[in-house]
Amino acid sequence: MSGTPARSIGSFAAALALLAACTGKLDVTLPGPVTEGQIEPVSVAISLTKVKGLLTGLPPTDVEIQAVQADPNALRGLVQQWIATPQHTAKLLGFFSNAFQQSQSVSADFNDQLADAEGIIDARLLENLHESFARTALQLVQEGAPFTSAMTTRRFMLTTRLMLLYAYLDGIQVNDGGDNVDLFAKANPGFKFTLTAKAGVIPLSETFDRNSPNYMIFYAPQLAGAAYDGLCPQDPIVYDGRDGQDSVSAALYVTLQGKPDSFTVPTGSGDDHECQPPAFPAAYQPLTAGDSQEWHMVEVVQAGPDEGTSSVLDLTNFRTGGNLLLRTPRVGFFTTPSFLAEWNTNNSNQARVTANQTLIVALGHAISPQNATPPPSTASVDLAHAPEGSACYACHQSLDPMRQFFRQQYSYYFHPQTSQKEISLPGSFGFRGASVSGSNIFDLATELSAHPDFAGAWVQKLCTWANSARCDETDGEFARVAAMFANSEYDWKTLEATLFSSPLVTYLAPTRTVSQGGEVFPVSRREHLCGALSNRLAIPDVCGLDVNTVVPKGLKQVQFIARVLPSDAYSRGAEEPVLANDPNLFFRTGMENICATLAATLIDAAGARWSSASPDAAIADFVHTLMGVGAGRDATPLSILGDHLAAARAAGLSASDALKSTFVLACLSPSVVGMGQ
Amino acid sequence: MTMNLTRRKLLLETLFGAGLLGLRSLATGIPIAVLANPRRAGAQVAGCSSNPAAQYILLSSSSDGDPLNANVPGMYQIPDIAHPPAVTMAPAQLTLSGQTFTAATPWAQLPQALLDRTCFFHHGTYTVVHPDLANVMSLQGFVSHHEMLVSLLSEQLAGCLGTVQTQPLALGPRSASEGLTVGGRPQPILSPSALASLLSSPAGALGQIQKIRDADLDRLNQWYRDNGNSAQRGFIDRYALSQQQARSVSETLLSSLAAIKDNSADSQVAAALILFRMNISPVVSIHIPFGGDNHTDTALARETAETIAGVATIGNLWTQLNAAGLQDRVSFATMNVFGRTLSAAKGNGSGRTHQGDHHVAVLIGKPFKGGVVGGVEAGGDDYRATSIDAATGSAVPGGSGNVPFSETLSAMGKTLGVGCGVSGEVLDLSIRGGKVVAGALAG
Repeated sequence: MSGTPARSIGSFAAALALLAACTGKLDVTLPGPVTEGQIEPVSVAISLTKVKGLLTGLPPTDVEIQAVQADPNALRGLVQQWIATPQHTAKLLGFFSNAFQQSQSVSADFNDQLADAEGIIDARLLENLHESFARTALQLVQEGAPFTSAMTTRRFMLTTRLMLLYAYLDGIQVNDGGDNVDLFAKANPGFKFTLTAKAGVIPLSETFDRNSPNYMIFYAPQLAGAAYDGLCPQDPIVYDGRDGQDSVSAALYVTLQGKPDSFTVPTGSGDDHECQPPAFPAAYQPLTAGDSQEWHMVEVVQAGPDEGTSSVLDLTNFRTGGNLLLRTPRVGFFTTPSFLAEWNTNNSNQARVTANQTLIVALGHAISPQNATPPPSTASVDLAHAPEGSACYACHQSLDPMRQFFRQQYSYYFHPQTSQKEISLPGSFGFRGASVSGSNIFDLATELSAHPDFAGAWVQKLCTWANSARCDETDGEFARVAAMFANSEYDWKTLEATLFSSPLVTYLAPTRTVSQGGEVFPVSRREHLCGALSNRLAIPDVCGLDVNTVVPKGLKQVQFIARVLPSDAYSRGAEEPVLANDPNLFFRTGMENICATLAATLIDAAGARWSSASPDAAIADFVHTLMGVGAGRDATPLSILGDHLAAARAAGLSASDALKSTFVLACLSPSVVGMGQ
Repeated sequence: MTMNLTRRKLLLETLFGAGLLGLRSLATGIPIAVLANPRRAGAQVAGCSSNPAAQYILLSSSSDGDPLNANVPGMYQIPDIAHPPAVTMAPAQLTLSGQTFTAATPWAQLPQALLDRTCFFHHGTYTVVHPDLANVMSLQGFVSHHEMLVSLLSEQLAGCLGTVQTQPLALGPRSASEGLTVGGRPQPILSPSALASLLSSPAGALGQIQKIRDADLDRLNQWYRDNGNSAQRGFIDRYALSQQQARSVSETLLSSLAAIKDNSADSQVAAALILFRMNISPVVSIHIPFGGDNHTDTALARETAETIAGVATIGNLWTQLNAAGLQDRVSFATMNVFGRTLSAAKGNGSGRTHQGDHHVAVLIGKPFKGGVVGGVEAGGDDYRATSIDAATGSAVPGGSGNVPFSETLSAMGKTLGVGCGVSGEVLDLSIRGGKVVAGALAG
């Protein structure tokens, strides 16, 4: 193994930079990789197990291993094949969801944005919110757009339910003081809607047809028959924003989710009594399952001050996609409801956390004295909090003008800003050497996409995902990969093909990252484990992580345990995710129970994949498919599993139970519970 | 693989069979004590074979920076300090080891025996930034190698208590920023309601031959070790250790864990106590809310509700400890990222912001003497913790105490450690600054 001296790395980087400057777009066949130091390399089989496992959850085939053994350059082609698979798309969805910090919010985090509709985010809608920007990024990648467009895009993958949510949020205005104005009601004076069973079945198309006599009359069969509450109106129920009701806008939005909005009525004693009409029966729910399962790329168009906007009344149109015309600016990953829910703010924080997390996602670094750069304007620095010359000023000189991009545009509740003082104070960008004038949130998007740290930030995120440890940004190989990414015009597929065939990830040659930091072999954290089990056992979403998955009774235990297995997560202010890499007793026992549950489903059950009548075939499949050990090196594992089957039979177990125990043994093997084994 | 059969057989027999413990330990990284008695894979820490003073530690931590500091003993001498106006939080007198103090009513309603071993330790955390909880847990870097205090204590206490593992455990739900690290390695956050499902062994036939399967998994592991490099072998050794630890967990208490159906603060307490009884780890971290990040909190209503509930959870902890006979074996401590601002004149009656200069660690347990350590004085725009007299624990306003304000966090850490049975020498070597506050400790 030959290492390249540090001086050569510098020369290489300089040459690379020069070439990049001359050509603008770098040829991806440029020499590489940049090696340095010494490592204890892994075998090609192990390397491919890691790389293909990461990308697809599947083990490499003997043919693939032999191809790379014969020609190491064949790996890049294989990686390109693997990243084109649907299994990889599923894994990338999870990566993007986490990397763009869209996936950790819980329902209550949205309450600030939702005003009167707080608490309405159910599991399906929450999953839509978590996935939306990840799907957006995937779509941009599929379209061949530069990855920088993830910063600047005004097109988002949305479901009908998300379009409805975006429209609802845009129809209310919550200012810094928490005062709530129903803009929708103001734009539609006298608006009301009615729930009734008396008029017979009313198709939703008529309910939403302004020309229909049934406009805004919902068929509510649940109101027929016995009174749901003797103190409350029964049929019809009219919502018009009267005292005791939420804003009509919120009432309509909530009702569309399937359970009519609650309201209060006065009692004779001067108290209020809460009325909660029953939910629509399944057949008459205004929203369908498809409304949270069908995705469209939707452009969010910024409405002018006097323009009409999309509203919840456009529900039936939303089902065909189209555009959203909104007052609320939506651009890039950092203005999605989910990001803003996860990194919500208040009058003390003044959107500083939102701005800081935006920088962490986009550029991989947080505000710190070292990262701060004086921006063109420091007018928005809170000098009372951070006087000039104080230790605090070192960060706030950069952070406060940065957060002003948000404050100038949004209230603390992430509705359009109404404070003229805030509106008149524009944002200003100063971060890690870049100091650029700006004004609104769209300018922030542009600055993020143009920042010199962008390429390295995303190489780092992907490298950390691949290695379960941070890569060394002074590593010449890291710089090479980043340069390749930047000079491919930020083509994500080029980044993936380059990084996953790089020794940074393959461990087939030394890099500074690995020679100094060591090779990392972690447990298979939840998303990797579940992806691998799903793809190797051919059970879609075996862990039931997708809320739309109907989990068979026999796999409920897998779903339950999988939810508490270690997973990737970002903590506030952290530049890298929290990765629990080590096996511990809880992981070990949890895995044993997952494997035992799977065994009961997969062996000898009706329609099961394996039968105890054919134990040899089953064991071969355990070794080759589940453990991912190819035919070229399977003798010992086959022998051990065969021995176990025999020992189990000798201990008095039935043939079926003995094979199940053998499956559990295979399922607990290091190449299933660990990554890259 | 070119290894001949003779050597392979030898390795199989010696590494995972009944062979030489030393070689097996060397090969696997598993301590000899574990290999000698795999059914009791207790943690092994040199120099602590038995220590009657050793305590289990139940830590409550929050990256929200709850207003726990605002309504405890020591906070009622200064009229400007804002307290919730609710009758349920009205100032009330309580007695701590014979001394009378004032605190919010819920604290005064705790059992006297509990109060007499409750120390309210006033100190700074020196940060107003939520993500700094990990730094606070390392006493702002004053613990060697940036280790978290509880990880240091856990490692030191594991051998004394003979626990299954040396690492502390984090119970959730909680954010990733409230996770624990050991040597920089993040530890998983466990869900109380899932513990039983995680820890129980497979039922029926699969459970019957677990030992055979374990032995065959050892053989599989060995094959992977033979084919892997040293980093891979390191993983497999840790994995093998986790199996040994799993087998040393008593299953007799699993039914108690199975009764835990949610992840509330009370459930976290219940789960922690069961884990102590199972002797799994010396330290369990939970999150008891005491008002959260209450910037906007009209009439301090959230602070009121969560303080009442939080103190009730501590009361419940006391009840459960006594029921389990653990009241003298388990100590409780709180350690949040920061406290919250206090001055009523500056608007803290309707919400509070971050206060890095004042936080109160509530230390409860047999080793602690009921009372107040340190105090609060005007400082900056608000108030801050005073310096402390290490001998008595008294507040020394003006900064002339022998525990200066800047070392009050370290002093709290050392006091907690010594109280829980870790040697002062070890703590002095491992923690910069601060002093053990003798006045906080029971005689």
